[in-house]
Amino acid sequence: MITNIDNVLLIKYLRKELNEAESQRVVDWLQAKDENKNFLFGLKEAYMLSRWEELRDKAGTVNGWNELKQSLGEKRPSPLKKYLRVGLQYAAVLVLLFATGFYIHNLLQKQQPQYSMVETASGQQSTLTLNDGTKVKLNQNSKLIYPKNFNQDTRNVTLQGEAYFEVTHNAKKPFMVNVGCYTVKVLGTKFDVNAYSGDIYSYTSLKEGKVLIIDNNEGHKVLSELKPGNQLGYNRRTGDYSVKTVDIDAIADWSLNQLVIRNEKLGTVADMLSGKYGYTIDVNNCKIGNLVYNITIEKEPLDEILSDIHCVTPQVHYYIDHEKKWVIIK
Amino acid sequence: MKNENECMYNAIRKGNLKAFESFYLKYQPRLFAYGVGILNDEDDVMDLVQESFISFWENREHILTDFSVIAYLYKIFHSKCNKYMRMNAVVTDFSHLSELKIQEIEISYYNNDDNLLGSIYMHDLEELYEKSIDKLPEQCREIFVLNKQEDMRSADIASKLGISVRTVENQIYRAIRIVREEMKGYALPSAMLIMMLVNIFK
Repeated sequence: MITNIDNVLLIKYLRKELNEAESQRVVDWLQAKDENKNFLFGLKEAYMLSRWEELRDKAGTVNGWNELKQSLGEKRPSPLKKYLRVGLQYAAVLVLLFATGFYIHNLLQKQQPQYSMVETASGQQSTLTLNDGTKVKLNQNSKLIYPKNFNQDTRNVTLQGEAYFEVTHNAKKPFMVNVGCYTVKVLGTKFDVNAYSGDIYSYTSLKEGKVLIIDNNEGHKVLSELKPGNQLGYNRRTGDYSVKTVDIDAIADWSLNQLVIRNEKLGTVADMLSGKYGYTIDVNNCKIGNLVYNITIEKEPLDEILSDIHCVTPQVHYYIDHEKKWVIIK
Repeated sequence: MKNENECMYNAIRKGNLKAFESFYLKYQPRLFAYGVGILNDEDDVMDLVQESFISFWENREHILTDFSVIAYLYKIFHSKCNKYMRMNAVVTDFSHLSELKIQEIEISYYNNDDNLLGSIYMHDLEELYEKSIDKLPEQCREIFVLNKQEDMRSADIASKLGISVRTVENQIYRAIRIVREEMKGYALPSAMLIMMLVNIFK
């Protein structure tokens, strides 16, 4: 049987009109019993059904499909092609320089830029120091292409995915991070770029110093100048962007605080979780001890990790006691 | 029906864009409606839905047959929502934590396969909608239609039908009690009452 609650609260919940204190009452009520969840979410489903006509029209399905088809149709340049294309651009510049006689032949040979690429898989991170002393931490599923020597007027790198940069100051050679739709131009700062190719939004967040965001289309105009603590969110689909103030430490937190579990058995996973969260974790079933997991944890609460484990391996059940900081897995 | 779906999923797995199109046309509005139920910003929901379909397509070779396909789409969407909410929690102050908490509870509720597969989002919404309107008792339907299509407030409805606002409200409270009983068995037609009530309260 569901527990009693003021009907007005439920109706406000459906209409999204709860204030913070009321929300808290609904949270407490929801957490008191599973039946309460079944009731409220069932009610919500009925409510959403009543809005079906309205929402179906708002969903813009046909437009959405056309946009999606277009973005799938645009073949994403394969890394190799991109690499070649960037390489060709440099080659063209060099040929021009050669033709105008700025450099003597043997010097030119040395100056031809050579590119390196670092790529990370799921759950993997990589740290590297570039030739100019700039430190880059690459998050999972990311790719960075950079020249071995920065002997151009600007220090150009290309990023797909997420990376945290600490750029060595050099006012004469700006550091440029190309993320496809825009370029981040800096002199010497600390900042985070999150630009995964599958995501519609990409983010650039600044910790120290100053960066310029330059559009890669439309005559390379400056879209925005970020100050420390600013984050630029860019919608790749529409080209819209906005700047917000954020907690930069929380955003770059992954570079400090990520726990990566790769191919570990449940027992080891329990030990690692125990170390990270400070909970006592007992595994009470030898049958599940041989299950192997790959998990990357950023800031997720322990409950979420345990529920994910239960989700991928439903035979694993858990009980968590937050007061005693104790978990039983069986 | 089942075979038809399986054919579609097989085709999607093999990279058939036509099959993916019919899948998208069918499930995009549902996922959108579902997302709007949970999150507040409709434009953001639209983007998250779009991202989810892109991920789904990029990972199409991992999909299995039958209903797990839809569950997979919803799970992708849940993880996008979680990421989005975390991003939002970072940028807002602490004044909305409980609201976020409700959203979190809701997402984890539907991340459970049993709950998801038992929900209306897994049914043919078009058909359910028509049916449930037809099944409303006559006066209710009248009120519902007035309220929905002509956007009338409860006071106006009351005067139009020649009953007092108080009567309308009394009926509302009685209906809530009935609905509570019937919701146990997911009685959708009676649940329609509740939506009507919700509309009347504006």
